[in-house]
Amino acid sequence: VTPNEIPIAHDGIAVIVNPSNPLSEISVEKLSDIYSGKAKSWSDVGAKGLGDIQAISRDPSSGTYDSFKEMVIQKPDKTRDYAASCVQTASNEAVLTTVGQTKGAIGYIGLAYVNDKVKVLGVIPLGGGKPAVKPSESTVRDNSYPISRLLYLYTDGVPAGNVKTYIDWGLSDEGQKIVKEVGYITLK
Amino acid sequence: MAQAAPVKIKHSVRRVAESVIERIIQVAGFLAVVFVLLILVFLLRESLPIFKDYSLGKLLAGRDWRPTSDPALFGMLPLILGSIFVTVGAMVVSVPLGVGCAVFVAEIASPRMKEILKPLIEMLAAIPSVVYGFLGLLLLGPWLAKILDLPIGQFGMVGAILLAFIAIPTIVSVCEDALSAVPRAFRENSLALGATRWQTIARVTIPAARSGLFAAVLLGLGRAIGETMTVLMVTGNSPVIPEGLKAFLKPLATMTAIIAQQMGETVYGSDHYHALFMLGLLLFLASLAVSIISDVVIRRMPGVRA
Repeated sequence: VTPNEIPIAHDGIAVIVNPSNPLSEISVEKLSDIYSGKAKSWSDVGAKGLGDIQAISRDPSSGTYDSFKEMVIQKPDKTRDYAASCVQTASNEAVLTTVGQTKGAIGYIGLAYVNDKVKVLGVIPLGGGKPAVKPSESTVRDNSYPISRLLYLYTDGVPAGNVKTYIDWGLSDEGQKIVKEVGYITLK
Repeated sequence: MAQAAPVKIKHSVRRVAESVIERIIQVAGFLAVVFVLLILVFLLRESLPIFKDYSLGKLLAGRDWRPTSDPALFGMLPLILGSIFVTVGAMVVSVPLGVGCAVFVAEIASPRMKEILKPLIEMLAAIPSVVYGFLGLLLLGPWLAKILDLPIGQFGMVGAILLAFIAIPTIVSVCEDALSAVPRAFRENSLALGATRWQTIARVTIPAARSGLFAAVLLGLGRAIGETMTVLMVTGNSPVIPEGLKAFLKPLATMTAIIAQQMGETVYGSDHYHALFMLGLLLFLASLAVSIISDVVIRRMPGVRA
């Protein structure tokens, strides 16, 4: 098998908190502290009256779990990893539900899944000094939102035949329109 | 004599047919044993390679389950303790409720009420565990978190309570059979000697049925320890070592939930893969131990068998 990757869409991972949370932005460093267990209380990251942080993560079978680890937790320090105390949920929906119901919770989900039961935080890129960036079509596509990634289709070698037809369709205006409809961000 | 011949043929045909059927039943019986052995062989084959890189002590006593770290750690202690916590918690809830319910159905309820109650309780068993998980995630967990003033609605006790409801139909149904198997004469003698109904139940019927009640409890335990979907959905799956009774109010992870959660995306033949099979082997040995213990204890206990 010779894997061949073809970018098909952009995706941002949105950091979400309960709507009652007063924060509107957070830095990559603070997020890393939270998920690696260094920061345990909301007062450690500048919000008062919320008590302990309930860090919600996806489970290790999820691609988002790995993406978030690479792009956030290990950004300030390669040796960091998820703390055992993170609550692991099996789907984007479960993260949404839990964060929506839990006052002190923070979670992350694919931008396509965000709804109004939760509040999306702006993220300050590593190193600070720059303003917080909210995930949006333009900030994800130009990578200025720090937790952006490409989504790929994989083929065995250079695609041919029906596989090629399918991929060409996915990259066409018609395919990209569907990418947008389901909440992901088009390549162009 | 001329007429006897066909009868004889019929007899021998019947005898052949009977021995064929006997053989089939025999094979079916042996097959069950063969399947269990094959499963054991498969579990051993897929789990033993983990010992190339990790010692048994490091696995069983390891306090960190970090399958995607570098280097990966497969400390199973938090998961083993998590399973024990949730299962014991479930038994604390389900045994009194289940046995009490069985006593009511078998000894106190009128025949008509019994006719309604029994199928209703058995219907509990027909509810898929994913539905219990949903109820726990959306209703029971958040509600308990609110009244107990907990920060999050996913914790050990939610799993224990739901598992209790999953184990209750098994416990009730086996208990009820055991109680019904106690001969009428026992109760009649007790009542005739002037004992009240309660004295009869507590000192005659229940002691007489105790081996069956014990079997019911162990079957319920087996049901609870192997349940996966419900605990996966409601306990938070945080591989933290549960410490003290307070751990019931915190997220924890069980062996079954971790296997279900992680097996799907693990690389075939990797250490992680073998470690998950090792968890499976431990679960297998745990259920084996439960059935052997119940067998030995039931055989030693005097009383009426269910």
